[in-house]
Amino acid sequence: MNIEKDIQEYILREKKINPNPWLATRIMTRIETPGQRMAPRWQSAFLAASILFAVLLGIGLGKVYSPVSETYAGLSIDDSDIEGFAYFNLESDE
Amino acid sequence: MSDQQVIDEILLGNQSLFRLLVEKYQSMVFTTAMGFVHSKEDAEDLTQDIFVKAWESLSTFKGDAVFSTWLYRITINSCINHVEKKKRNIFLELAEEWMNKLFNSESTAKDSQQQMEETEQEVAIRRAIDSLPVNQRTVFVLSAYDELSQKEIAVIMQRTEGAVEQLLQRAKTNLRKKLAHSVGN
Repeated sequence: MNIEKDIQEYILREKKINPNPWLATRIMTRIETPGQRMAPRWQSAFLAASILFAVLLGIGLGKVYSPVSETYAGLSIDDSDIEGFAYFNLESDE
Repeated sequence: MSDQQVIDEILLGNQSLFRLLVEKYQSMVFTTAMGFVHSKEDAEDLTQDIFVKAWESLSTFKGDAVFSTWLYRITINSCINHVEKKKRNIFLELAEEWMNKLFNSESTAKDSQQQMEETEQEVAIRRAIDSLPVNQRTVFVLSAYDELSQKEIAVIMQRTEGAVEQLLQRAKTNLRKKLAHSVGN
């Protein structure tokens, strides 16, 4: 039957695919360095969610922040008492 | 050197001998994985994971069964888990695909090319195999991809030969039904 022949041909095509010649080396490297494991998916998802949360938090805080009122508070100092020039100009004191 | 001798040596501390087992059985594991995932990259990753699992549990191998049978069991369990996990993580898969499209136009181009090369007929066959119930799919893959006899499959799956034959017949009937309208016309 055509269907069975097509399935057989499909399977034959897949069976012709060979693994990478370095696969054994890759496996041995992973076994010899057990610390180098791929992060599980939930970790990647958690990392992505954390970054998104940090960005949104930044935007939120940026919107909430209201800058300090810019009314200028200057200090008016009359230093005429400190430097009493008039004192030196009094001729009668000489 | 027999498999059992190699395993004994490994358990005694000669760990580099594990490479002999990897080199001997990698094609077998890869072919089975291909039957479940239909992608070279996924099958390679799966093969790697399977050998790491075998390595980690090598001390539990008692030698009651042949090493290849033991490895087949690990392979099948890992493949089924991978497929189930993929089904559950479909949302993450879509997100990943979207991210790839966004940041990696080269890989997208390759994917599109691969998709174009895969005819409608091939997609239909792949989907039909993937939609089989787990036991039927396992028996079908072991029979069609690994060319194992029903007796060997029965030992691996710890079932009777009659049960394996029945599962295989059902798998073939289901495939014929599913593909009746899309293939061979």
